Amino acid sequence: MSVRVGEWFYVWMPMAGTEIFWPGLVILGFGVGVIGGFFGIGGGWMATPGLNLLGLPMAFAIGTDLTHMAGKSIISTFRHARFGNVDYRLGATMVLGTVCGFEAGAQTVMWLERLGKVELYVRLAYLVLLAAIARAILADLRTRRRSPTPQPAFGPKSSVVLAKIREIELPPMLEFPQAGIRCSFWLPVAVGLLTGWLCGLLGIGGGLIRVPALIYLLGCPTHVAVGTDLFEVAISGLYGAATYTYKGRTELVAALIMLVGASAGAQIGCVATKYVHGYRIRALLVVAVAGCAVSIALKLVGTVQPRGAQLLQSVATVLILALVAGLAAEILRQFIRGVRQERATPVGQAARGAR
Amino acid sequence: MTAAVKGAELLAQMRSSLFQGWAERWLALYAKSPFQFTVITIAVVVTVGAFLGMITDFIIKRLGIDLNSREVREK
Repeated sequence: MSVRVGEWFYVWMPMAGTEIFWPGLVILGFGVGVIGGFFGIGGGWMATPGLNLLGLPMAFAIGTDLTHMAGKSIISTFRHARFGNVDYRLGATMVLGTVCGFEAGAQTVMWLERLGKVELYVRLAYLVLLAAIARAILADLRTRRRSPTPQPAFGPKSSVVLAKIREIELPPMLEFPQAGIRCSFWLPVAVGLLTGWLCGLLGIGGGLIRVPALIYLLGCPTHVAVGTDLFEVAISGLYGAATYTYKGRTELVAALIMLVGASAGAQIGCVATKYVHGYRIRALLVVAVAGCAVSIALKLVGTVQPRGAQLLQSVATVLILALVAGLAAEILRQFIRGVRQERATPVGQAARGAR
Repeated sequence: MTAAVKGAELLAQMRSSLFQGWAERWLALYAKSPFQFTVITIAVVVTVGAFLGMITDFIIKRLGIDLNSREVREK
């Protein structure tokens, strides 16, 4: 009887009917967990191509990613909640808009599918949106770099329009103590509706859109935006996971193996926010957004120009995976540096002595 | 619709012949009740997520990191 070399490293996926290199799942889960915990995003745009590359068919890659994302976001939400980064009141208010918006986005996709234009328009929408987010964050970072005095925790100081939107007194007015904001009930609902619609349209968890929206539209401090968004990602992830599982497109074994790596990665990403300024978190977020935009632009060129589309698809996948590895390594570096500093302080030494 | 259901049953039977044990029962559960299968999957993911979160919490606390408070480093 012949035994394949390294057979122990492969596990059978009963639903998809394929074998997967399980250490690859752990590494992918860890990398996406670190980035997700740090930026407050689910990371569907990173994990789905990675799972597909490891051998899962695309529909199973999406379903499995959503399922692991839900489990991972629960871990990250608990961690951020301990730091006081989750405004549950704000999250619950936004959920109303998010769910309705998600369904509206999914219906828009169905309509575009009937027209036969879904691939092109969805990718174009993605590209325009990511470019706008990157531009807004870069403008904010430039303003802060030029200013000699510390800036408020949120939004671009120069944006009079955004400040006016935040000040609209449309009853009922609500206080969100954790985020430190007071605004009309309708503003977070509208943000949820808009971001939910984009999530449904683009088929993502939405952190990449929702975190900047919470910072720049609602005026949340960066850390509360990250924590509150993870709460939203957990809810939308569970909804998406249930839908795909019911259709038989979720590989539970793969999701659980990814969760092992993601649980460690998510904790590291969340704790790393303790040691990094909100300004720097946004600077790293620009890198993630820009890398994602370039990857989608490559796929878009492949849609318009079918010759060489396969090559462009491979380049886009490699770019996404390189981005995951690079960002995860940088966050890990910040985490290790922060832990060393904390352990060197009298409080850290006392905590270790008390064990 | 009928063809799709029969196709799914055929696929489940074909795959289940490849292996035995837990995987076979898992596929049989989906063929029998997709709703029950979904509920169990979600429950397992949430439970395992919470359990792994507790384990990593414990490990990080043992490293001497304060997990209950943070100084907001906003700029």
